[in-house]
Amino acid sequence: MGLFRRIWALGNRTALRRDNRDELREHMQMRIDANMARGMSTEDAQREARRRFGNPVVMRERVDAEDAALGLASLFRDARYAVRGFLKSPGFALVAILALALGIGANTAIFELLDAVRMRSLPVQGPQELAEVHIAGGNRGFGITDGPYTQFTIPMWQEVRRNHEPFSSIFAWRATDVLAGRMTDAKRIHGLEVSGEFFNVLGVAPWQGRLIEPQDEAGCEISKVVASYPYWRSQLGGQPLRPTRLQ
Amino acid sequence: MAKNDLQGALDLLVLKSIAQLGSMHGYGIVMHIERVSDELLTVEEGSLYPALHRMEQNGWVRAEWRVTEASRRAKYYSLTAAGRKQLATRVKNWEQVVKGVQAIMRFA
Repeated sequence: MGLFRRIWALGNRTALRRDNRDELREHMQMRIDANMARGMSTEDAQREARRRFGNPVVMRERVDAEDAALGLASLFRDARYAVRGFLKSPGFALVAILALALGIGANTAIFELLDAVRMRSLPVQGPQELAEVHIAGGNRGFGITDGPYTQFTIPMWQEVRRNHEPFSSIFAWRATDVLAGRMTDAKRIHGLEVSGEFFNVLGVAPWQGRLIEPQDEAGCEISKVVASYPYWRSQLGGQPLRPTRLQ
Repeated sequence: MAKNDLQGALDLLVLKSIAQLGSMHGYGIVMHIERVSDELLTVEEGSLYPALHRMEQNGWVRAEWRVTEASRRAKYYSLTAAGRKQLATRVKNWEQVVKGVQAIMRFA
């Protein structure tokens, strides 16, 4: 019983009351039926039942009051009882509280560490060595741009690629939505258009097949794709893929 | 010493009646006590229902809505394991009370 029944009873006070009213009314009705079966007139039967039953409102209130023992008042009493118990044996209380605090604290600390080290970092080789190259102050519509967030034009990127000295290697990417599938089956999916060095620089290993490499870099058409693991699982059936032409 | 009072006696009567009947609604319990005691004992509805609900809160009885033979809806009460244990204690207490009262009566 305990806490959950109390909370449940809180939200169901009206239902409980209605239940009690039904129960008492049915009782009265059974009494009336029995009286009539003994040969009383309907009126006498009702009067006798009412007389035996007493004041129905008072009765209902008394029954409701018994159920109200489920209320929060008794929960509060329980809490006070617990506190009194702790005060009586402070040594035990201290040990219990310390054990809980250390238990919770240690778990939190370990999780935070794990979260920072294992979960937050990118799943690539040397994530701490990655840096993003921007034009200070933004592109300002410089050259031919094809989107509001484009940082570099192709010639600028090619120039950066030729002179990437501070970095051991460099790649370019562009977030883009592409349509996958034929005609009406086509679905819009999030994609990245990447330069040939992308996967080599990140040091990502393929789950299956191979990744895009520098020699795959082509002109404007999209000729090679790499499916992300979640996309492969959810949209490509998670089956081994045979090289096919992109539709 | 056996702890008992009028309330305790009512609880005992109700618990015992439910135990005898298996499961019964309030009206049936009233009738049962009257019939079995040859109308020596009358349980008033005004005490019975609060007692039943208190016992339900204590987990001694469980209640469920069922249809009577006369096809009325009624809340049927039946004993839980805790209720049976409670009944056994109450019976023992009652026997002690009776013994005690009888001893006093004989003395006089």
